[in-house]
Amino acid sequence: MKWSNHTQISRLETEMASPSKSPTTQSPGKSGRLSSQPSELMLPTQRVKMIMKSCPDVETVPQESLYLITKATELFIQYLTQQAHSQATDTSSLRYDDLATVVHSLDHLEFLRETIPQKITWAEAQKLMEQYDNKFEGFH
Amino acid sequence: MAERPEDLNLPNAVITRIIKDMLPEGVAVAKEARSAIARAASVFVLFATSSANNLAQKHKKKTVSAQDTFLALKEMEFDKFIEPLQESLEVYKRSQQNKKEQKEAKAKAKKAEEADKNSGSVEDNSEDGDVSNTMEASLTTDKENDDVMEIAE
Repeated sequence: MKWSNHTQISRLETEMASPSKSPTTQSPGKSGRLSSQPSELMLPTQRVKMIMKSCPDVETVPQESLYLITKATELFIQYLTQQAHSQATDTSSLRYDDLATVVHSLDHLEFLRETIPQKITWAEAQKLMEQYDNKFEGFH
Repeated sequence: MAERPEDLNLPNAVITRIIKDMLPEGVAVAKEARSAIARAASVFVLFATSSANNLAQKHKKKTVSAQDTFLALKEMEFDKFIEPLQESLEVYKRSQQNKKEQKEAKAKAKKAEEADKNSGSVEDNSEDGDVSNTMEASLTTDKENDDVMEIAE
């Protein structure tokens, strides 16, 4: 009796000790919800703050805004992952092209089109180059 | 200000964790896919920050408020994030407040302890007041350990 109580306590203590796995958290992927962690952050706020400060004209970053942007970025990573995977033809893996496709098909992901460009094959690239050359024939 | 390129990147381990938690078990995440998501996340921070900052400047403010951040997200068409973010923010603010109160209670108790030592007398009337202070402090810290306490019984 005593021994089982002891193991229960130590299990709870280890669960409480690691912040990202609190007893109240369910794994988002399994339940399909965007985020079920109440307020714990996974991304490091200092790093996010550095990125924010690299923006021109940004002076001080209040604690609340830093928290919100960090949390929003976590939600964004989840969102992008979910969207890319949902329209993938091979759902056993997540590939670069899945990301590129979803970024080029959803309007509000337009800001990512230069960051995640669609890849073309070498043959397609050659064809494009030929067309480009033909266009400017005579102007060399 | 010169920043090293890696400083503007978010840690790969955390990003991988978030991605994996979002997908069913056994889905292989290509390295290129993961680095694309990582870059996208950094760009998201920049985009959200500059949008929120523009809104703040429009209202002649110097700092980016929570309000500006929510409005920026709406502008970026990430409305679906707003509600979960508001909830998380509430929980975060409460936990920050709790931490602050605990800190203050501890400081108060410590101060009372020291005052006790200075007074030198063990049979002071003030001792009762001190005991209740220390009890308050231990009560607030015990709250967190409620679950553990129940099992111990």
